[in-house]
Formats: sequence, structure tokens, C-alpha cells
Amino acid sequence: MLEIKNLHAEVEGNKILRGIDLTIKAGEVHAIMGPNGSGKSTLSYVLAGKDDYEITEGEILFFGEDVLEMEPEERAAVGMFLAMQYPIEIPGVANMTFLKTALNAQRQTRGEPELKTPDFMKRVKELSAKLNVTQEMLRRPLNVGFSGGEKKRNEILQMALLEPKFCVLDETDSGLDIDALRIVSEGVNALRSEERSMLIITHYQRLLDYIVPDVVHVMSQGRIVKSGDKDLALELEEKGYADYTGGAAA
Amino acid sequence: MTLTVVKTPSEEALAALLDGAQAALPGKDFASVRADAVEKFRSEGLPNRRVEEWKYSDLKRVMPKDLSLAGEVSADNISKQMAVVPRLRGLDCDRLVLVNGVFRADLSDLDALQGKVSLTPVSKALEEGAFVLDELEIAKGDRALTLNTALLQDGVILDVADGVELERPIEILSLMIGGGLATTRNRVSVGKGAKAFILETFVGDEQAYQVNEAIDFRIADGASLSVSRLLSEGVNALHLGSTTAILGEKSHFEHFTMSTGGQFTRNTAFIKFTGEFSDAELFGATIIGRNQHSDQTLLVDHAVPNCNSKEQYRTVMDDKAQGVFQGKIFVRQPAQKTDGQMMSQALLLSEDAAFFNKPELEIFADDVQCAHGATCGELDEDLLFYLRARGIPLDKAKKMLVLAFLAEAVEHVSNDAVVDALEGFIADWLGLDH
Repeated sequence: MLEIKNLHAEVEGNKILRGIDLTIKAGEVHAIMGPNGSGKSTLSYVLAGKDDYEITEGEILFFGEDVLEMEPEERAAVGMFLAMQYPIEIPGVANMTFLKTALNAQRQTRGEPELKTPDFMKRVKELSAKLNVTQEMLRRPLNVGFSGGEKKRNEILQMALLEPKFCVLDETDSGLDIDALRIVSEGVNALRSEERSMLIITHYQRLLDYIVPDVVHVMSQGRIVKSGDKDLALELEEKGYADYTGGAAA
Repeated sequence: MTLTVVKTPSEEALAALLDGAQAALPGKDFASVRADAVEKFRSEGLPNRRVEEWKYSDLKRVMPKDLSLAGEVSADNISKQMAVVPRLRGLDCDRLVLVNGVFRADLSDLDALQGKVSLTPVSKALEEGAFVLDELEIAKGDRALTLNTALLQDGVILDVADGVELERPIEILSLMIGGGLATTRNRVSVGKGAKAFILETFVGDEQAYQVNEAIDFRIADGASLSVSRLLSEGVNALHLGSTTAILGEKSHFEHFTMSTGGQFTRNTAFIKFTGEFSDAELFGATIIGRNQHSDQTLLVDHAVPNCNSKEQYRTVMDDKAQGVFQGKIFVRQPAQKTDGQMMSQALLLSEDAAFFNKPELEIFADDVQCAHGATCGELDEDLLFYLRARGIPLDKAKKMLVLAFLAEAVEHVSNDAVVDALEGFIADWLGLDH
């Protein structure tokens, strides 16, 4: 589904990604762990198409298509989704209006008919109930005044509604208490299927107790330095990242 | 004594028009007041960039030199224009209509408000010698008002009786058709403890025309008045608008201006507190493009203690548009415990657009809270990215953010139906579904 080949990216001359190679097949859930500053969030933004980064080498293929040639909205329409670490507040845009506009914009780009308001409302209601997203949160401006947990649940609601083929979850566990972590994880697990793949970026192993990955990668200094199964995450939790950062970390 | 400093062709044209029109204008008793105003214009000429208050809005440069009074229009033509001009639609309201500066009783209906609101056309009051200018000190000598007095044709005088609470807005709609100059002055008095909502609408066709309109709000003790003012003039219009408001004790005044239209628009509001424990909230949303020019000028006069004023204006400019905000809060020496907050925020969508932002405070009392702020920026890249990352194309994402920026000002309007209609109006302007 997704192939990243020798990807190099930099910001204002600072090299952040230094040759990422990663292949994710349909239905697989991969986790990327790594210390602060290893380039995890940069990888997620580069996948989504944020233009603060300069790609100096390498390629990203999604179902064989060159992702780096696509605008962010085109990537979304072909089925890529980034659940953001810091979902942005947008005053003046009602959450519900935003959801409907996003869904219908994607459908329009794909040449599908618009979802009519009653059908849309029904779907949103079903999904929001499962994620404990209240009617009031749907009426409010997008993410404005939402708690950390509410923002993350709202991200997963968007993911569930937009039904992407490939999801990147960038530190979705940060800022969540135990209950919110469970709700978010259940929401994510409900979306696991043979046609949908995920890339989960996290600092901590805890999230991976809830969302069990098929493959775990360790990222350090802009490269993937080790890959293994879910036990690798447990090992990291125990030993820390010192082995992968030249032993400097305490 | 004749002091004539008229220079430019447009000033000469306007002077000729002023002289020629005097005999035909209503109200013999008002003639000397007009004559004074004409004389004042002759000595001062049109305001231009050398006059501080008009520094960014040079009327001398934009006033056309072929000037005439707007003419009569057929009923057929009026209904045609009413159907196509961009305005708030689907609102449940009572309506008064002025066409080319003349009140049209045949198109207006206030019957439902009999006993609650009285209506007198200004032309009738002028003829009967009953029209008295009620100028504010801070508005004295204002150039647009001087011209208004010199050419005053008509308008409506509305009196909302004491204690009456009106359920739906009264719209005063001004329509311009076929070009020419029109001059009106309206007055709305809200009686003690009364409550009203006024919607002012300015629309017109694509001909070059000039509107000079003024409206005076007199808000009695304990009264509450909300005003939403929609400037949706035709693409070639020149609009000079002056609003004055006098607030009594424990009164409330909410004033919202939505401006999209016209080639050149200058809007001035003069607000004066004369009774304690009153609030004025003044908001505005402007969105302009092409080479439009829009100026919002504001003077708030705190003359008595314990009053609050809050001003929040948002301006969006695209292409080569120019926006101006000038806001001044006076706090006179007796006006202790004044709370005055003024904010002007601008969003520039193009590198060729320009905004002049001039907030001022003049404070003579020592126990007050006053603040002003001004910002000028572009659309936030992070917000755009978030919307695009969810599949919303760039152009649509930009429009959504512009609507959101202005909606924050619109949402201060206290009538939900008007808020919906205004947001729909902006969405239409932007070409967004809603």
C-alpha cells in the first residue's frame, strides 16, 4: 500500500529525515517509536504534505502513485489521513460544518456523489456516540475550547467518518488520561481492517497495549534503526532508547 | 463676503449642483440652514488627504465631475432590481423603502406597528418646518454631514413609543437605480424602556451613483437598540455614511456594520454617552476586493461616568483593495469608571491590498480602563493545512477561513435570524455553499 524509499527531508537547511525506508502492506499496523527529535512528527507531516519541509531525496508511493507530487487535499482524497498531535483550533468554523465540507470535498474529488444532509447526520451521530463526542462538541467551533482528550477523540471521529485507507496517528496518546486512551484505542481498533493500514507514532509502549501493532520500528536521527514485532516495544520500554542514540541518553 | 476656493472640476460640478438644487429641495424654513452648509462647502471644498480625518480617503480625488441628482424610477424597474441586488433575504421584518433618496410610501409597510411606532417622512417634516438638525458636538463640521445638510432630500423619522418591545426588525432599505446623487437623513428614536432592532440596507444597480446618507439614533433612558447595517452598494457606487447615536441612562446600543459593496465607501459613526450605566457595542465586518476602498471611522464620546464601549472591526481585503479603520475614544474628565475597548483586525489576501489602521485614545479622566489593539495579517498556514489535510481544496479552505474570520464579528449580533442571514450573505459573496 505505502512505500517510502530513501526519504530525505530538511527544514531551513537542517536535515531531519536521513533516508527512511518503510513498506506497509494492506491491513498492517506499524508503530514507530523513538526519542524526541528523531524525526517522527516530521515523517507524519511529510506524508500529509505540509509544505514547511523540503524533500531532498527519495520517494513516497501510495498504491504505486507518487505522493510527493500531490497537494495535501489530493492525498486526503486518495485515502491518506493524519491524526494530528496538536489538532488546531479554528474559531468560526463549526465542527459539523467542517466534517460535512471535508467529507463532501473528498467525495467530489473522487467523483462520488455528495452525501445528503440526513444521511450525513445519521453517520456522524452513530460514530460520535461511540467516541463519546457530544452534540455540543459537534456544534462548537472546530476544536475551540476542547480539552486535550476531546481534541483527540474528534480526530478519530474525523478518521472514522472519512474512512481513509491509510492512517497516521501522530502521538495520539499524548495528553490522554486512561479512560480517554481506552475510548480512542477502541475507536482506532474498530477501524482496523484488511484493507486499511496504520502507522502509529508514539513515545510510549502503553498505547501499543491497546492498539497491538504488527511491526514496531525504532527511529533515531532521521532513520529507522531497528524493526521487530510487538515485543520490541516492550524491550524499549524496559531499556530506553540509549542503545539507539549512541548511548548518550540517560 | 464670498470666499471661493473651489478648484477641481468635481468641486465645481458639485457647487453648481448645490446652487441649482436649492430651489427644488423641500422645506422653506430649512433654506437658511442649507445655505450655511453650501457656504461652508464653498469655503472648504471636498475633503482630501490634507484633512486629517480624511487622510486615507481622499474624496476630492474620487468624486466624479459629471454630477446630477438621481431621477425617478418606474415601479417595474424597482421590482426588477429588488429581485437581483445582494441583500439579506428570507428575514421576517417590517420594511421602509427609499428609492434614489426619496421615501416611497407605496413600497413601505408599517401598518402592523400602529400605535407602537410612528413614521414621518423627512420631506414632510421639512415642509412643515418641523425638521431640526440635532448635531453632536463631535460631529460638528464633519464634511460629509455638511454636504448632507446642503442637499438633504428625504428620509424617515421613526419614533418607537416608550416601553414598546418590537418583535421583529424594521428594515430601512435604500435602493439606487439609474445613477445620480441622493441625499437622505433618517432618525430613529427609541423611547424610554423600549426595545427595537433596525436593519439598514443599502443596495443599487451597476450605474455610477453617489449616496450621502445619515442616520441619527436617539436612545432614551433604559432603552435598547440593535442596528445591523448592510452596505451592499453597486460596483460603481460612492457611499458616504454618517451615523450618530446619543445614549441615555442605562441604555444599550448594539451596532453592526457589514460592508461589501461600492467602489468608495466612507462610514463614520459618532457615539455619545449622556447618561450613566450605558453600553455601546460597535462591530463591523468588511470584505472588499478589486480596487474597492472602504473606510470605517469611529468617534466615541464618553462624557459621563460608568459607561462601557466596545469596538471590534474586522476587515478582509483582496486584490488591490484598500481598507481604513480610524477609531477614537474620548474619555472626558467627568467620565470616571469608563471601560473602553477597541480592536481592529485586518486580513490581507493579496500582496497588493493595503490597510490603514489608526486607533486612538484621548483620556482626560484618571480612573478608567481603556485599551486598543490593531492587527494586520495573512491567512494562517497551519489552519489552511489542517483543512486541506482533511481533503478541502485550497481555494475553498481559504474561503472557509475568511468566512470564519468575519463570522466572529457577525456573531455579536443579538438576533439569530439576522446572524444566519448575514453569514449566508458573506458565503454568497465568497461563492461558498451554506
